[in-house]
Amino acid sequence: MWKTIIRRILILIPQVFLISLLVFILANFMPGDALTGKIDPNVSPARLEELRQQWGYYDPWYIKYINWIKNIMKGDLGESTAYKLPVTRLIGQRAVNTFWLALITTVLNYIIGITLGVISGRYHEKLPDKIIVFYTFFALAMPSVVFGLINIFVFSFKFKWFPVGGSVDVKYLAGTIPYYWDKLYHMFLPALTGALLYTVSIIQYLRSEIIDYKNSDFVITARSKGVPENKIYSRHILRNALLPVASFMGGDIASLLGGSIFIENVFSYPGMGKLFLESIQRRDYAVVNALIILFAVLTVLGTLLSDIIMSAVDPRIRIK
Amino acid sequence: MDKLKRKAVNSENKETVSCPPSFARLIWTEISHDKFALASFILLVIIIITVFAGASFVDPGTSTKINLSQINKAPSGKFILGTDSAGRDMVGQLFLGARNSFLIAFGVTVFCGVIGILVGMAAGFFAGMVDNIIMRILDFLAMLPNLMIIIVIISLIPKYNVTTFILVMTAFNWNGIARLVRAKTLQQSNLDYVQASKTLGTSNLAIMFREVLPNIASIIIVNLTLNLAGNMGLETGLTFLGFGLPFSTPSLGTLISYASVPENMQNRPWQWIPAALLIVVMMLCINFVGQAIKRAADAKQRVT
Repeated sequence: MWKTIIRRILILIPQVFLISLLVFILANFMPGDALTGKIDPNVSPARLEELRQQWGYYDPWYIKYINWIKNIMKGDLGESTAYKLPVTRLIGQRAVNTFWLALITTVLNYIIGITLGVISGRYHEKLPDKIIVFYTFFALAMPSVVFGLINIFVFSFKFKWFPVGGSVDVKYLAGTIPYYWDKLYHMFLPALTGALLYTVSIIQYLRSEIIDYKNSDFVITARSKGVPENKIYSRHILRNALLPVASFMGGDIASLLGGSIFIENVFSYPGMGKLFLESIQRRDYAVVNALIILFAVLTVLGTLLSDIIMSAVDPRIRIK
Repeated sequence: MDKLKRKAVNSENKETVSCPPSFARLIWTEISHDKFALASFILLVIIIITVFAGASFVDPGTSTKINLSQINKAPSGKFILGTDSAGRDMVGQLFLGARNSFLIAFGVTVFCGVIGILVGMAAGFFAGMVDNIIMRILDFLAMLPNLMIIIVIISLIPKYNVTTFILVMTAFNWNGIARLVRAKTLQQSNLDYVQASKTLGTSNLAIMFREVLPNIASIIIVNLTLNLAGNMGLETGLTFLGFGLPFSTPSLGTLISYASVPENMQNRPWQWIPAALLIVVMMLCINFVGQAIKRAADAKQRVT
């Protein structure tokens, strides 16, 4: 078990290194440097030149790269030119929003996915299954942008059940209970939109697992012992069928934490995905680079988490 | 279950046919047996013909030029789907947009297919060192936050147009198909017929493209069909965010992005709902047809 994990981590190191190199190369194509935000009429060009020399603007690329990595290790990701804030602080503020949205999406995702997956597998080829299978096709065909817009149009504009966008109403004081309640209220529609689309993989996987297990020996034994049908599903089949689904969690959480760029922008939800686009539009490249690195690391960690969950629940993988 | 039974009955009654039906024939049997797939296929063909024919007859004067006297007109006899905030005819824009979106998705799918087949077959066929190197590259590509890097690159390219857009999308989307082709080629290259060909002295290239490729073609076609729908979705999303086609070139994404202005979304649904519906219908149709092709490619699920 530990051997597997350590081996996985060792494989990850060169990957993270390559990603950092790629981001560094991209960063070099981006216009501006660390001083762009500091240029104002009171600073003489000579002084700027001096600062550039001092901060290593004319160093060869590998020295720049090493310094850049050193700074990242120290937690210094530069300063946002648009907000005049350290990038880490700025991302920290937005990350909280994205974290809560990701959490609620994941919870809804698994509730919907497991319920529909079990119904679909249990009533295989019957009406409920057919409806659910049709739904999965529908969700697969739906671009998240379009689904989000339609949901806003129907639920926010026509029925006025949910707010149109944003994360919290300004009239509430931070830290009070109505404030958190309002946040939750703002989060619900984007979270549901995401969950209804992402849940398809869980439904499909669970459905086929349950159909496979339905006629397996241990289920037939349980049935012949007279175990009630409901119990067969909840105790015998679901336990086995859920194992592989659990391993999706790593990747899911990582991609959601990475800020679902489409959903956050459609709902103008102030998370990291929206910050990313805003920063690109404002040419605030320090933030852009930091976010790419962060998301890459999250993806790497998510894959690692998936592998660990998988090898924890399924011993066959460890042996390999 | 039903299908399996039918298959069992068939195989009892019929003698074994020595010549297997062609893949095109199998796809057709599968599609014509599935009412949904047949309906989607016909609908898709109708949509594509209408869109392409419509786009070539569109009057550029009313649908791409700005006309300040016709701003935000509701649907009427003259403009069946109304006009946008620049006074352009929405019907013409819808035709042009759907055609552009489809062509881009098609281009990306074809390029990804070609790169994926070449790289995947090389990895699967030569195995060993080549396979190892290619797999590490694929692993690395899988780790990247693709969407973000595509957006960054698009924002950095100074003069980008449809071609560069297709190339950037291709550069980060070919690894799925390469992985699939590699796995299938690996499987095939251990089979007797490949070994026999090798013994006979057939060149590697001939074995790869004349013998292995036809055997894995069906699964590649399935994957590419499903990718086509995915790429249309991706194009729409990117253009919606403002990192796809330039605003002057209509695509379904630009049309849908009219909805990002609350005023348009609420009061002028004719500007974005047709495009939104069209992309969903097209993607649904492609997916249904793709699923039918998938069944045709899998001997276990086939109707006949």
